[in-house]
This record gives sequence, structure tokens and C-alpha cells, in this order.
Amino acid sequence: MADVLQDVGIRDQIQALVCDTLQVVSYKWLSRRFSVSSNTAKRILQEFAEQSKDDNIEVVYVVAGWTKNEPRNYSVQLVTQDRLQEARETLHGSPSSHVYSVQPCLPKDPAQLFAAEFVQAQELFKQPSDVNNCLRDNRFSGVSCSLVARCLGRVSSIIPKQHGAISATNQALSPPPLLAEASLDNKGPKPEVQAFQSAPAVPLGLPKIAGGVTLKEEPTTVTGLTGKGPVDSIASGNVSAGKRKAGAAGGEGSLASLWGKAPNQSSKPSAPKSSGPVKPITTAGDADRGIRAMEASVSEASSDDDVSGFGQRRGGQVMRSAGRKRQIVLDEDEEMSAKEEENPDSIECEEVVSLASPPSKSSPSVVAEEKSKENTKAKVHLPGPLTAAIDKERKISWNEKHADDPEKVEGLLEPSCAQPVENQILHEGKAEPSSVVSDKAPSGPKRKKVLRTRIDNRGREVTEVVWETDGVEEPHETKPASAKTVAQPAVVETKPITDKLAPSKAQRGPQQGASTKGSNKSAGKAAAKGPQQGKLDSFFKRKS
Amino acid sequence: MDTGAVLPRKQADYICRDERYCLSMQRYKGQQYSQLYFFRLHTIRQNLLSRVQERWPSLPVCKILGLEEGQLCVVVGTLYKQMQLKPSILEEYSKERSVVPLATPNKFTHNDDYLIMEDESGRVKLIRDANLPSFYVTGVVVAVCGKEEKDGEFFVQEILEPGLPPQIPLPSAVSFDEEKFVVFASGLKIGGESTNPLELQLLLDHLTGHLGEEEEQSLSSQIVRVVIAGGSVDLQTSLSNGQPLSGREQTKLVEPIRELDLALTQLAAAMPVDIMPGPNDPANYSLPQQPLHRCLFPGASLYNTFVSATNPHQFELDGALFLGTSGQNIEDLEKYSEAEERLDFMERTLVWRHLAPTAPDTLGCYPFTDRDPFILEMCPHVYFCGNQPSYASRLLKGPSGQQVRLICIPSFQETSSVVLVSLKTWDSHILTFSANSFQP
Repeated sequence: MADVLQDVGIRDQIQALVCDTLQVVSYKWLSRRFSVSSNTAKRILQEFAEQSKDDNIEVVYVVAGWTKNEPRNYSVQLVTQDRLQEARETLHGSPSSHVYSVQPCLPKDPAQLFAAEFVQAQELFKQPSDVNNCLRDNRFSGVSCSLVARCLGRVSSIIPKQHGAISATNQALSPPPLLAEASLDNKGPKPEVQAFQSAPAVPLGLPKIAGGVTLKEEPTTVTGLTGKGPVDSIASGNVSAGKRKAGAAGGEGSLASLWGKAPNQSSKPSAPKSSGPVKPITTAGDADRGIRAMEASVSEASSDDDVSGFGQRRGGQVMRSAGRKRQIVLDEDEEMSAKEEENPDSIECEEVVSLASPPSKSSPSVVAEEKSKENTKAKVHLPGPLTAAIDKERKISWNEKHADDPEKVEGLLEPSCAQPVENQILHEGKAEPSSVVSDKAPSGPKRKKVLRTRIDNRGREVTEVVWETDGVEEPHETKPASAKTVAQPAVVETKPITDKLAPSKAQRGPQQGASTKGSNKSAGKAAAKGPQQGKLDSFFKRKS
Repeated sequence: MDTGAVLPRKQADYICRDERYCLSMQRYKGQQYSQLYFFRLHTIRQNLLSRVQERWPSLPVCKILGLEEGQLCVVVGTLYKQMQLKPSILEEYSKERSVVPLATPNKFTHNDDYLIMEDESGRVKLIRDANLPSFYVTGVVVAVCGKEEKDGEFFVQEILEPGLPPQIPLPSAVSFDEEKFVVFASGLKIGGESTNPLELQLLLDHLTGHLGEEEEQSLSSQIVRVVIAGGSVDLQTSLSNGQPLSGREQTKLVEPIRELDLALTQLAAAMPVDIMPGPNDPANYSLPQQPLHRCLFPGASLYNTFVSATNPHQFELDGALFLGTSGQNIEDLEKYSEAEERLDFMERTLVWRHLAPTAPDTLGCYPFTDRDPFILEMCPHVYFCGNQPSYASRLLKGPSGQQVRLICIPSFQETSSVVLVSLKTWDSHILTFSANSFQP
């Protein structure tokens, strides 16, 4: 009885599908849609066709049998109802025939018959490989094969998918990451960058990182800094996110959500962590947490193994974070060298990397002061991002500006930079360590490849790769800039626009500085610096 | 309720014999083709000499360099066919620069073609009646009986071919009391403009046991394996012109492969499937073509029933030896020699004991240095050839009891049919799908 009732229900649905949505209902589609065997589906369709003969429904039959003429062939053909008998007669003996599909009208293109079924098959086919469905086990067929086995244990099959997903998410999310990166850069260029790097890059570039780990141990010391940096950055990112998402109970940090998206499992656990870190902005411990959270989210996103417990992670996080940082640092160094060699254009894809790498290079060569400056700059940025967080573009512009700023600032604005640093220190109890550490750590970015994304006057999103020089004076920047000169002017223009739009005035100062930089690059650094200093100062004053 | 019990699919023991066609141990170090010809001559001469002993026990076997004028003798060597229409890269180059129109005939045979025989020591022009050259192609190893004439040409009295290789007798009929079929398909051309996806889907449904009533499904359950002999996708290679592709173009380019994977997944979920690369598939060009990479088929490659095979593909089913190609070798023979039908070419390759004699002359081939993998040491029971214009089949019987079923597998895109070969009677028939007759 249940079966009959079910059939009745299915028949009603077929009626709706065919008459209302004008869909072609084939027996195979039916069997997969309602999880009945193919043979049952044929019978249901048969009954449906008989019942609704008067309803202007076209029925396509499939006729199969041996041909009469020699050499004998087995023929399978699709025919309409009126030709059914004719087709049967051409075949030898009693050919088998059944309803293939019912539809409101006969399609001109026979392939239409199979469109819905094909879409359905593709959907089944696209399901994760560990899901067993009727397409994959052929369960509704009239013939079973005991020989068939699917080997799901294969890592290879699974990994590519994840990669794809991750990369896809990265792409999809790329704007947010940029923002995050930007904010990070502002605070503590290197560490933040690292964190970011690890996040997006880890999944794809694991091997590199692993190789890098052994190389340098300095990073460990850096960790403290990085921790702060990331924390700040996270905080800023979160804060900005917080503004948007503040209400969200889960409190998924924007970052977490971004990274978490790729792996479904990971996102959930990671989100809470990230949210936690968000709250504590300045505290070192908080910073560490933030880093951990970031890493956790990243790692979860990146690797399957990490999917395990949240708690476990926490325990191991410290170690991990340290290791990661090291890795990152190493990576940066490598990248640095690589970058120098590479053309700016080639690196477009690695937004994060590009940001991160410059600092590391510079750090060894650059003096502590520079680092401190950078840090200060970064910090300065922090407020900006925090306040401005809403606009990605802004942030980006900020970053750019900041990046530019450091260079300029370093040369002429050392005093001003120092002030900001102090301010920061005041703000953050840990600022000192960061500055101190910064000496050890590779902080001074000489050259950075920066991916700048902004929306231009026409409302199009423009992404450029730009070489920015930190630590060294503007000329370095100008070189790369000159290469991209065309793009840059546009940037300058856009920045002001964004500034105008941007609610926070604090940003403006830096942005203007950046814009001036762009314009000044070729012209005079000193001139550019002058205005910047003033702006920076004003910025800090406002802040304080 | 007509939903009877699900029929169990018949099974056959399968052993893949593709090792000889794998290039995994090969490293290209700039070697030329001389070793390939050397091994071919050396190996087939062993077989020929015993036949020569039987045929002409009293005649001496000479090297070409040792020929003496007027003396009747036997020479074993590799044929080279001098063809004036044979495409030459040098000629094409010169034609490019001249006003002479570039003729592109489908066949390159001509009445003035003549054969030259060569062995390690030298070469000599063979003369006889005019039919001879049209029958043979470059690369075939034969023994000729005749004598050298005044002008240094060799007058051929008779030609002796290596003949069908020995065949392992079929195992006693224990496993053959029940009907089993192997399906051969080729030229699916998924993604092609003239490809009808509905017919392909009908094929899949029939093979996987969805289509038809119980009677038809019982036929389907007798199919123990599907072999896809090349030509599976029709990639729009015009898209890839050396320039970077946009994402959309990439999708467009690989879409046929996705669809193929979907089709193969459905097949592999229901039955064992072998897929061979073909002339336009994403595999290497030269023979032996290596298996299509598994990463092309993320869905289907998960199944233990999915086998990605080399292009000359050799396997055993229930002790019977199957051998076949995706059609390049026959295609090339068709261009450089003449016969009434494709089956004749196939038969000749068996008799010559070489799967692709025109390789490496006019057919792409890897320069093996240690062997010639295309030499037939064993005679298959079923010899198939994919991507042929139409279906044809013949039972070839050898002098020492060999029985070979020759099959030309028609292109599915053009004929909408596949070939079934019975493991019981060794008969074959085709299975045709028609999705166009229902149209108003």
C-alpha cells in the first residue's frame, strides 16, 4: 500500500512538473529524483501516460529489439506514440518497449529530452567524492555488478577538490583578504603579513613553507612581534568586521569567515577563536590568541588533519604558531630574493606573499629605527583601518599609503615616525617589545610587491602590482612606479575619491600622503615628505 | 509490480597485457629509429628463416651485398616503398615557395611506385608485376625468392610473408557455456558539434542496465566489459592557439572531458571499462599512445573497474587474447597501400606479424632501442580497430588452426552503433541507437 500511495504522490508531482513547469520527465530522471528503481520509474511513467492520455501530453517510447534483416543487429530507438507500433513491427519477435519520457510537447532538438536528466546527473556527479549517490553506485539499474568498487581512500581525489575549493574561496574572497592585509600592514607590516600569508598561502604552498622552516630561527624571536602585529591586524580586521558583523552571535571574525569558507568543517571552530581574539586588541596575550586563531583558522582551512578538535589545537597552537612564523619568515626571505629577480607583473597572484616578503628583506638590512618606524606606521594604520575598516578600498589605499609613507617617513620624517611609535607604545603596552624585537626581526621593508585593488572612477575594480620600496627612499618606489606610471596616477585619483567618501578623516592624512607620494615619486621626495609628516602628526594627535 | 529481481552482471577474468606498450622505463636520449628497424628485421627474420627452410629447402639465403647475378636465391629484408606521391617535408617546403599548387591527396599510392628491399648490408630494387607495390608498405619484413639481373635489380619470383603468429588455443569451453559479450565502442566524440548526446546517453543506459524491459536488461547483463577504442572527445583545439586562455575558454575546452568523465563514471559504476587514447585524444601522438591520465577522470578513476589503457591495447578475457588499436595503423596503411576493405589491411598486419609496419616511416612512433613492441608474437583471438568509417567483421582462419575475429569498430558519432562480440560463439553484431526517429 505504501508503495502505491507513494506512486500516487509521485504521479501528482509528475503532473505538476509536466503541465506546470513544462519539464521533460524521463524515467531515469524520475528514478533519481524520487529514489525509485529505473524499472519502477518506467512503470510509474507508463501509468501516468495512460491516465493522462487526454491531457495533451506527449510520450516518447523506447523500442529495442533485434532487427529482422541480416546481419541482425540489436536496435534501440526512441519513437513517438504514433510510431510505436510501426517501430515494433520492424523488429524481430517481441521487442521490448517502455516509456522513455513524458513532456508537454516534442522538442525539436532531441537532445532536449535529455537536458534535465543531464543536469541532474551533473549535480550528482559534482557532489563530494566521498558521497555515494545513485549515479555512483548505479543502484537503480536493473543489472547489478558485484565487481564494482569505489576506492574512496585515495587522497589524491580528495585533495584536488579542496584545493579547488580553497583557491576558489580565495579568489572569491580576495577583496576581503586584501583589506585584512592592508590593515595588517599598517600595524606591523611583517608579522601581519606573515599571518596572512600563512592563511591563504599555506594550503597551496605548504611544501615551500616546510622547506623554509629549517632555515631561519630568528623568526622565533619575531613571533612576539608577529603576535602583536597579527593581533593588531586581526583586531583591526575583526573590528572592522565587528562593525559590520558585531551583532553576529557566532562572532565570526571577518577573517575567519573568509578563510573558513573553503573548508566547511574548519570554519565553525575557527570562527569562535577569531572572534575571541578580536575583543582584546592591544594585549600581548590577546595578540597571541589572535595569531593562534588566525593560524588555527588557516590551518583548519588548509589541511584535513587539522580538522580535529578545537581544544587540541589550542594546546599545540603556540608551537605551531612559532613554527609557522618561522616558516613564513623564511618564505618571505625567499620571496624577497625571488621578488627582486622577478618582474612585478609576474607576482600578481600572490597578494599576501608580496606584502609579506618586502618587510623580511628589508628587515635584515634596515636599521631598528626604520623598523620601529614601520611599526609605528603600522600602528598608525591600525587606527585608520579600525575606523575605516568598512571600505576595503580605503584600507588598501591606506596600506599603499602606509607602505609609501614608511619610505618617505624614514628618510625625512624620522622624528615624526618616532612620535607615532611612542604613541603606539603608549597605546599598547607591548609596543615596546615589538619595536625591540623588530630590530631582530626582519622588519624594514625595502621593496614590496603590492597588489593594489581599488575601484576607479568608472566604478571598475582595478588591480595592480606595484613595487614599493620601504626603508630605502622613494626613488625605489619611483622605479617600479614609473613602470606602472599609467596605473598609478589613476590610483592617486581614486584615493582622494575614496577619502572623500570615507567617513574617517584620520585616513585622509595618510592617503593624501600616499597620493602625494605617487605624484612626488618622480618629482621631489622632500616635498612629499613634508606634507606627509604634517599629516601624520595630525593623525596621531587626533588619535591620541 | 514488474520490478523483478535485479539481474547480476556476468563476469569474465580480465588480465591486462599492456606492459609491452608502456613507455615508463623509456628515456629519450636522442636515439634514432635505426634500432627499431634493426630489431624488427632481426626478430621477424628468425620467424621467416624457418618458413623459408620449409618452402625452399634447397635455395641459399643471401645477404643483399652477397647477391650474384643470375643466381636464384632467397633474401630476407625490410621493404621500402619508393613513392612519388609520398609527402615530404622538403617538397612541402619547396612547394610553399613555388606557384605549384599543393596537392593533398587522400592516398599517396601511384602506379610508378616500386619496392626496395634492404637489410644490414645494402639495398636492392625489386621488380615484378605492377601489383606488388600497391600491396606492401614500407617497413614490412619479408623473404623474397628470385635472382639479380644485369642492371642490379632483383627479379622477384615469389614473396614469402611471416604469416599468422602462433595462437594460444582457447581454454576449454568451461567458461563459455554461458553467453558473454564484450562491447567495443570508438569515436564517441563527446563535445563535438555533430555528436548527439542523447544517443550516447541511450548507449550508457543500455549498457548500465537502465534501459528496456527485462529482456533487454538481461542482454545488458551479459556484457562483461566495454572497450572504448579512442576518439572519445572532440576538443575544440582551435581555442588553444598558444595564447593564454581566459577562464571561460578553458572551461569550454575541457568541458568535453568533464562530460566524458561523467559518462565513464556511469559506466564504471556498472561494469568494467577500458578506455584507450585515440588520434585526437589528450594523449601523446606517437604510438604507442600512453594511457589517458587518471587526473582527467577524477570521477571515473575512483572505480576499480576503470582501466585507462595504452593505445595498442592487449588484454585477456577468460583466457582469450584481445588486441586492438584506435585505428591509426590501419588509417596509415590505407593511405600508403591499397585494399578493397579495411579488414584486408587488418588481416595484412596480422600476416606481416607487425601491428604498425609504417611506423616510424609515416606513422608517429617512439624510437625504441631495445625492442619493437609492435611485432606480433602471439596471434590474438579478437583483433579490433577503432574509428573506422563503418562496421565490418570477419573470421580469419590461419593455416595452423588460428582463428581471429577481425572487427572494424565504427565511429559512434557517425553511425551511432557499437560492436558486441560474443565470448561464446565469437560472433559479433552491432548495437544501434537512434534518437532521431521520434521527431515530428
